[in-house]
Amino acid sequence: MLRKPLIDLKNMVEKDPTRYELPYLLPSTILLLLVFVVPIALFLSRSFLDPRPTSEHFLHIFRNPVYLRVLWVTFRISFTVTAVCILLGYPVAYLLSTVSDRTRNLLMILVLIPFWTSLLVRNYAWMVLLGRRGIINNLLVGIGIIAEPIKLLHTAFAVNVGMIQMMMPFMILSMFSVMKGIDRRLISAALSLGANRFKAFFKVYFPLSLPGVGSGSLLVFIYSLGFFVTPALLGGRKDVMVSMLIEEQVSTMLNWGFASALALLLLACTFLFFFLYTRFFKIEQIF
Amino acid sequence: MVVCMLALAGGQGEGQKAKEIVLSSWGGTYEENVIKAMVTPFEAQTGIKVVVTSYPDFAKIKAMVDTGNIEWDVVDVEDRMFRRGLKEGLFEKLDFSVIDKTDILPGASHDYGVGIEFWGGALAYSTEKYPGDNHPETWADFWNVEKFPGDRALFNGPYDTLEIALIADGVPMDKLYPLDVDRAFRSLDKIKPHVTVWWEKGAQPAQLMTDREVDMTYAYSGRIANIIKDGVPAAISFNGASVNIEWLVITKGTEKVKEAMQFIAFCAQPKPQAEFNAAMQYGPINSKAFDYIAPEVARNLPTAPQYIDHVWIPDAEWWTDKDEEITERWNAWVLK
Repeated sequence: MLRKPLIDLKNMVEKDPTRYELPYLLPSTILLLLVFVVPIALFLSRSFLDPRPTSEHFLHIFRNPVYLRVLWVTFRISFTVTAVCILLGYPVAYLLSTVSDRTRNLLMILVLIPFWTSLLVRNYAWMVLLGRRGIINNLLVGIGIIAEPIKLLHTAFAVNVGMIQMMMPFMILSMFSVMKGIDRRLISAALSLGANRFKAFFKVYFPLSLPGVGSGSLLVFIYSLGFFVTPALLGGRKDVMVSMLIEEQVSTMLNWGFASALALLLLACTFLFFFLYTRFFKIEQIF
Repeated sequence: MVVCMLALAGGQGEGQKAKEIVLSSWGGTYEENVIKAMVTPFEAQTGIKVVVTSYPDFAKIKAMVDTGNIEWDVVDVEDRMFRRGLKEGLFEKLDFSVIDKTDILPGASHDYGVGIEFWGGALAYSTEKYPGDNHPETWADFWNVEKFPGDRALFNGPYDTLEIALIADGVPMDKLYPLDVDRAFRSLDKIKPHVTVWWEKGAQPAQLMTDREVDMTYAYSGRIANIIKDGVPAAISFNGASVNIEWLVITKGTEKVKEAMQFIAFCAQPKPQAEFNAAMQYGPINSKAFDYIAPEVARNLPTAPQYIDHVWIPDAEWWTDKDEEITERWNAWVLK
């Protein structure tokens, strides 16, 4: 009796997957359309409709070197943050995937606590640490390594450090989710076939972990492009990111047409980057 | 007849209900003090109820006027919002037979608005770094890095910053407008290497002074007055400070113009002005308010009698059509 279920979902899905997935996707699709796609499209349409149909906003961006320069700074900061996150996050994710469940849970909490802490709180914490009379400077002056406090806060360094900390959990968790699926016996096999540890890692393990690096980097990079609070609070005068200009246009200048042109430019660059990126890393591997 | 009486009674009931106005204010401590100093005594005196709601929003006011569906009768607006609203005709004209403007400071009364407070953009300095009498006092001192070495902070934007750069360069306060923008940027070039922080939001300078991150900064005086009260070794110099007006206006098309007018008239009186501004550390718009404010409090308020000849009022009219161009130039200059 039980052998043949009334609705053989598995079989049906396998025959024609899209036909049966669609109804499940419908509610979330409608929701996203209504509360995400439509408002964003309406806002972005202002870039060439506000106050009247015009290409003025875009011409203005390209005529004035400030905006492309800020866009460049935005990409540069995001790139640095992503690169450092890979370097620092990889060993952590590796460790998480090798230790016992108990230790992993403990370590995982350490990764997640900053993730759960408010962004603003973390930024202020960095201000306390990096300030002229902050903990780090006081310590260095106190033990005599430096005579005068060094300038750490309100620099590109502070922005990078702050953003790296904010983005680390995303990188670690993305890489970890791939690493924990890698079959450890492959390493043992490589070792038994004569590879040294170094070779076994770089020839076998590392290529298998790349999808995690790829998805983590994509997440971190794109997230970083839209950062606002950290550069505003920790940065110096040269560390201006596009979202800060957008905010200025929206709330101070009340020039929503131009704000939306800047937003569209950032979005277009993000898509361009996404496109190029997925040509290098196969998208199926990433998701 | 009975029906008629009932109808009349009903009509009166409606009239009673209409004796309620809505004020849109700025939330937080600001709103608490508005309620304490202005709303509660006004209700007690007139029997008109004032419902206070938060965050004046320019787009909302415009939508209310456009649709004729007025939710806010009185709105507390910043000067820039006020100027834009004037252009778009969003406010009711005020009746100065109801509002007594004898003691209202010049610059705080207008055909379409009466001030609720002045906030100061002033020089704040550390009394730890500059103890005694040898402390920065004017914007020229702020620019003088030999006489007053130390780290400085300025607002990351052109408003007030261009003006103080001109004052530092020797332009008299009453001859600021129209601003010589080129000269202002030349003056700023000189101080740029010594400015270690360019702050974005009004709360930051108070933080910078509290953390001893900088030794002097341009700051909104109320914020600094509050940290001084908390024991931070800092002081404010109002010599060359800007005083910026915040307005109370009546939304165009409201049916409760009369009650709204009474409320604005009440808020402009010396006593509510004194109580509100002393609590918020802002400058009263009524000169008689200082009769009710202790001298040690008054010394941190930008419109106190001893400062009134040493401060200037930003010309929001001059800024309205130039702010986009200048902000752009500012953004480019800051990145250089």
